Amino acid sequence: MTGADLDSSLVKSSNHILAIYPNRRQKLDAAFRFLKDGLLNNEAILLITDEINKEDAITRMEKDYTGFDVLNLLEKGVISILSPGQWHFINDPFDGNRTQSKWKKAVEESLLNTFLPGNSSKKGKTCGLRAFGDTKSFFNKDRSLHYDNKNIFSFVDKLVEYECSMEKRFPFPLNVICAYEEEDIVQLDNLELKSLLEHHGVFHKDSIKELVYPLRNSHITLLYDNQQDLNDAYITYINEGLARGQLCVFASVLLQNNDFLRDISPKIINFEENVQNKNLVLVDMANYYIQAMMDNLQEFEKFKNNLMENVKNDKNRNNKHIRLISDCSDFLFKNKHFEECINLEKWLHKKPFEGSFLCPYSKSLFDQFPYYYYLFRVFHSNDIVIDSHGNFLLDYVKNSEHQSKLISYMMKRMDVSNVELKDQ
Amino acid sequence: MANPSTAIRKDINILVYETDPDVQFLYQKYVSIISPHVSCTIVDDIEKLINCNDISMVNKMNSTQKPNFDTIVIDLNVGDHNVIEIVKKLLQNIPRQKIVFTTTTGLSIIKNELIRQGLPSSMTILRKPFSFSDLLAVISPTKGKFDKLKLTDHVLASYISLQEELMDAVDFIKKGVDSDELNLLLIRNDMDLKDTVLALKSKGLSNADTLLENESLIIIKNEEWYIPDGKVNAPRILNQWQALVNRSTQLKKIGLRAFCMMDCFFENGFSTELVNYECNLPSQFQIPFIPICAYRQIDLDCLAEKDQKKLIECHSHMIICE
Repeated sequence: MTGADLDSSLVKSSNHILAIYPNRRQKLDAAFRFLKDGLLNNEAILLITDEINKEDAITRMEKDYTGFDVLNLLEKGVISILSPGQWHFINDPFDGNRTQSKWKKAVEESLLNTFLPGNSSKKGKTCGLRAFGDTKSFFNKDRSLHYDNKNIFSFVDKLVEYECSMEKRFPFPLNVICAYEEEDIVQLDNLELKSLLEHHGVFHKDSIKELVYPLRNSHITLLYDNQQDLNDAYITYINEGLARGQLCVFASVLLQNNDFLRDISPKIINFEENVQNKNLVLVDMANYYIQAMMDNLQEFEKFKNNLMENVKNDKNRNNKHIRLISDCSDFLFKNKHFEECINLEKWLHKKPFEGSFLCPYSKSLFDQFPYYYYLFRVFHSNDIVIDSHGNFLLDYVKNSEHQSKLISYMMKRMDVSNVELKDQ
Repeated sequence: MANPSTAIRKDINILVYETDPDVQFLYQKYVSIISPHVSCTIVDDIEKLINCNDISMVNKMNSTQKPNFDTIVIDLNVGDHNVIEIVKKLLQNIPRQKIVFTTTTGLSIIKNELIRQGLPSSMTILRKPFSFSDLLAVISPTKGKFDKLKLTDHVLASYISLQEELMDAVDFIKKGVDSDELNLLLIRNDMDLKDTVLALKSKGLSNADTLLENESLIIIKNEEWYIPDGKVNAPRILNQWQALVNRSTQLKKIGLRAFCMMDCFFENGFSTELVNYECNLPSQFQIPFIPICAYRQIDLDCLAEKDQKKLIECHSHMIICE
């Protein structure tokens, strides 16, 4: 998980976040970064975990949170570090209602706090509470239960029930990451995972993987906030593909604009060399765009056949995965050729070749008339929707069929991630 | 300079009225790059612009016919002529002609001026200097709204004005008449039947009387169809549709085409019942039936997001008018 993935835009979109981490180390790294951002934002912070003891957590905060008087903030209650035993399992049993009340009380108390962050220009009262809640202890408790008891009472079942009693957004200023490790979450059945996803605004796995390791035949819809974010996503997707010896195809209707590649090309590894060696193919989509408007997708078929031939005949290319970026549908959509856009998306969704397809869309359009009426027609039931950092966006799940496919995709994703991690 | 009368018909034809040679060159360069399927005719005097859309020839066309040019790009800052008046006349003859204005002036100033002079607010304006993709974005082929519809589609449409709605109803029914289908028009409760027929005639359905006489066209008030007894009874409405499809077969027609104004549900406080009724219909029919469920945009906007989503899901095609 990188520092950029839990940025303010993510927290803005939801304040009940489900995050999955490959291991303990990455989980704790993310926790300390996330909470530091909270302090910088004048929020009180709360860490709930027993994966690190309080003394070690304080030591790490003192090291990482330069400019903050950690001990003083602990004394004032701006920083709190609690074990799950202190927060969830008071006298051992877990009571979801009690924990819910505690959140509310903690937020109310946090709002009474005053502190002056050392390196922040902001002054005055805290503006809410930011918490990182580690769920590991629920799974550990189940593991320690005797088999017979597990059938009668499961802490994890109680956890899922409690999580699902909370909505995607809290009615008070609270930002929470509910942190799960992969080895734990894969133990949940599909129904449990589905329920968890429904009650969290953002599913947040170790970020950027959708751009780094796109699954074979994944059709990825990328919603971007601005051109800079989109460019960064393009660069990650292409560079990671080039690094893996994959054919990368950048098909754009904007290619003829003089300055289009100005910001992107310097950040792509050996741009000119890769273009020359046909590892990176640039395709001007203007004519394809015109053809799509006229409902003629034959040119796209030819385009597909050419790509497949290129990869097939390239004896030096062992990795046959093709990474395609195409902004043609986005351009059709922007210019209100809605049915043509849907048509093209359907064609893309036939998975015309072995590889992954990245289709960007401007996120802001979906808030505008008449675009928002087409939101769920443009997204196909098999699509995954991500932001420019590679995070899944579950607010755009089309219907229950889409949701269950998405969950299958995520489960598959987890398997792939494990393989990738082992390989590293 | 191309002679407009000899312009070869390609897939997309654009006409540009521009006098600056440098900008003319830019258009030619851009169009040559865009696609071999796009042709560009450039005229530099106003007479040629008028001739390109010869009024005498245009008058013979009705509103659904394809105009000479898919897109006409007109520079607002050229010459002493009142370009806007010429455009207004052109739009009177071909209401669906796509016009793009170019200007060096601020977009909002120009937009306000166009509206002040009686042009629609949806007019496209291209600010100079424009990029390749700016030009590409405004080019499009002439498309009929209903060209892509099949006889089994369930269509959702929304309208801001009754005029636009009636114009679409006429175009839609004309297609049904051409394909030998039975046509049903469900009108608002406050619309007068005789006035509606007059309006249809004025908008291009000149043979409306004959169509009504020979039962190719049926006009009914929507309340009578949907809520005759003050209740929304979905199974009864579905039976009515089936009966009318059967009737179309008896009349040796190939199916039923219906343009249905949906305001009566909202006027009678039945928006929830409406969503349930719509969800009872498939997005693709198994019988030869194509209804357009024509909503007023204000009604659609009033629905909760989840209901809007349900409506979108149960239709196979959407036409949202701005």
